[in-house]
Amino acid sequence: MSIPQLSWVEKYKPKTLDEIVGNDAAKKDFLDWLEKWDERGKAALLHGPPGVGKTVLVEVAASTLNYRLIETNASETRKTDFLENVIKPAAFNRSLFSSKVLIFFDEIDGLSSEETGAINFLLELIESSRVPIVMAANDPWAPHLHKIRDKVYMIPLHRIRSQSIIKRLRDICRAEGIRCKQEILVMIAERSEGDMRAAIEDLELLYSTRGEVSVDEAEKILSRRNVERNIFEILRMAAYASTFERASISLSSSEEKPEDLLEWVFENIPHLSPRQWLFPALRYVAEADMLIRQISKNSLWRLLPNFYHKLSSAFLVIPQKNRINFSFPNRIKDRFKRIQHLKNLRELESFFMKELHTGRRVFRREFIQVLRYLSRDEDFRSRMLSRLSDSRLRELFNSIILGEETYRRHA
Amino acid sequence: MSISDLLWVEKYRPKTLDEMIDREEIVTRLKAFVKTGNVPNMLFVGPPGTGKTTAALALVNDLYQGSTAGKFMELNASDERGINTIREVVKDFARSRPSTEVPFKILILDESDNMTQDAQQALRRIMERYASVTRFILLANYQWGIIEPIQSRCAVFRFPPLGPEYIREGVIRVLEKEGVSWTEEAIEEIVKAARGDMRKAINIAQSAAGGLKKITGDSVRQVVGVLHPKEVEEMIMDALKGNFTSARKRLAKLLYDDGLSANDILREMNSELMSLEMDEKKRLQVVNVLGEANFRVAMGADAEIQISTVLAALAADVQK
Repeated sequence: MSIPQLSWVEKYKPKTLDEIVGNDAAKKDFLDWLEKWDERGKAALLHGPPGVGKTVLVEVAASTLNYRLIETNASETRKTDFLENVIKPAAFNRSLFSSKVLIFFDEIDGLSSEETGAINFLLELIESSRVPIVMAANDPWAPHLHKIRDKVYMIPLHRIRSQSIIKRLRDICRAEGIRCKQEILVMIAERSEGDMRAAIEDLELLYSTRGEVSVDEAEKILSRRNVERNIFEILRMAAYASTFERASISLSSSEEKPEDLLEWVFENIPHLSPRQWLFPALRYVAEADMLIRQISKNSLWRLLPNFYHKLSSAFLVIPQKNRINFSFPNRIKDRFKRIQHLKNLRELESFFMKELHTGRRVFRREFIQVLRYLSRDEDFRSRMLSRLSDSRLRELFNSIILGEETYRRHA
Repeated sequence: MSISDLLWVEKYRPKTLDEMIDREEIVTRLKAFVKTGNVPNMLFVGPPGTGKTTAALALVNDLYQGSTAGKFMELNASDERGINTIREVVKDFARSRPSTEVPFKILILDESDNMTQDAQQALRRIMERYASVTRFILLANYQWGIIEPIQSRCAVFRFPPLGPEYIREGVIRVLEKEGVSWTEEAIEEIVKAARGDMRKAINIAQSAAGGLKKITGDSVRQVVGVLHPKEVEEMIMDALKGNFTSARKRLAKLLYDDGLSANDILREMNSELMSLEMDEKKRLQVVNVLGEANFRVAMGADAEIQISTVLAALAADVQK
């Protein structure tokens, strides 16, 4: 499993308050509230659409004002022992920490109405905490959050203006040494609908592996991206869902081919899961894998719900999930290269298998190494190449044996 | 032009049954077939490098007295074109039967235990249908990889690993012909690494010589490490140490760079698991998962997903 590189979203995350683009009123409001904490209640709720900077604002404010930030997401918020052992001491016993503490509950709209335990805990905390509590939500208007809503200081954040997004994208381009057409920046900004994170992800998608992109190409790539964003959302919902039903409904609403959905889950689960839960989680993935091959081979589509159940189980068996950015499956990305490499290998070996009267297994396991080793000798190499009369064969020998061609996923 | 004289294993492959080392019993039986001019369908079973292909080719050579062109055919059963290719080849064979003294042709089918059950059933029908014009020599590592009805239609020959003294004899025979000198230590190292696999032994010898006229214990040891890296073992060790990421990278390399089959990897993992030092409860758990994985891959599941699960089981704590 590859370790995700620092994405541009991470790399260009604002580090100072000035670097946070847009939502100036909310920024000021939040800092004011924090400064005069307890005058306007013990808790604030930042709400607004995704990618407008709710989390970043809290993180940067905390570090600027020297708060020790205790950050939790929805899945942690529903863990009683976590609330009791980490949050409670932090909220009520200030001496435990040398510095000021700020407690941050991200994604509280991820809590479902059934999770009254967690909601009651929050309500209690809001009443009596000795340190500031901040919460964030995309959708604070869910009925089961109304009690919380009534007790907190609400700070709305809004979609970021296209002009501001374009400016930020241009800064990133400069830093990355990319020449990007204005037209494309505009396209990205408009498609993002005020979501800075999505805009930066799109920029990275377009330019991280290419020098230049035409407007047409960009359009094509980004329209595919729409579907992808959909799957990121679906995975996030399934991964942090509190009930089996929610996870299952979320996964089965995906428009991805089941086989591709499986790739997404398989690729991301190791990052999501602390080590001790990896095995039980992957075991469900492996069962889902078996099931989907049988389903598509034998057209047993009525069994498809079971496939989604297995994948849901893979998520639900992990009690304490890491917070991750879901990443695009490498196996899908590299599918073409992988197939191409195997094709080359087959082509080369069909010649050698005949010449050496040997099976495929022995060729791959033994002769490739032998040929590589012997080819270190100049004399052997040139004699071998002179015998390969076919230019295609020489080319394959050069790349696979001499160049040690690999299918490189981790390069 | 052929490359067969560039690699010693091919250059010095015994051409006739008489040249074969060890395998006395097999050679005697095969020679009897040559004498009568009739051969049955045969199944040669044994690990790699034990003379299955050599015996088949030598038999063909002796049977047709050196003029073998057009009278036999070698195919690999793991060919992706599958059973249909075999059917076509056999049909063509039958059609082009020469009206000479040769009443039948021979088809050598390597890695036949890699064929699916369905393909083997089809093969069985082909064998029956063209019995009068074609004889089959099936080569396999495992007898139980071949379906019962085929086994019962074949004379089965077992090729166990060669004894150390025969490996020694074979290697020295080649070194002498190549004019390469050796130390006693070098030969011992080769015999030890080869474990009864003659091809491996000679490949090691040639690589160790590397164009020079001398092999030593050192040059052999160096080659053995490169030619037969302990990748599966290292993958398992990584997983055991909890380094799942690194274990997965090794798996991807084995599957996609080296193109090894899931079956081979799982088989090697299985034998490693048996000899590794570990908690017996854990061994039980991992072996179970490995069995599941093996079965599922055979049923068409994804190799990387299934083997990754085995690696995760290795990395996990024992479930109480």
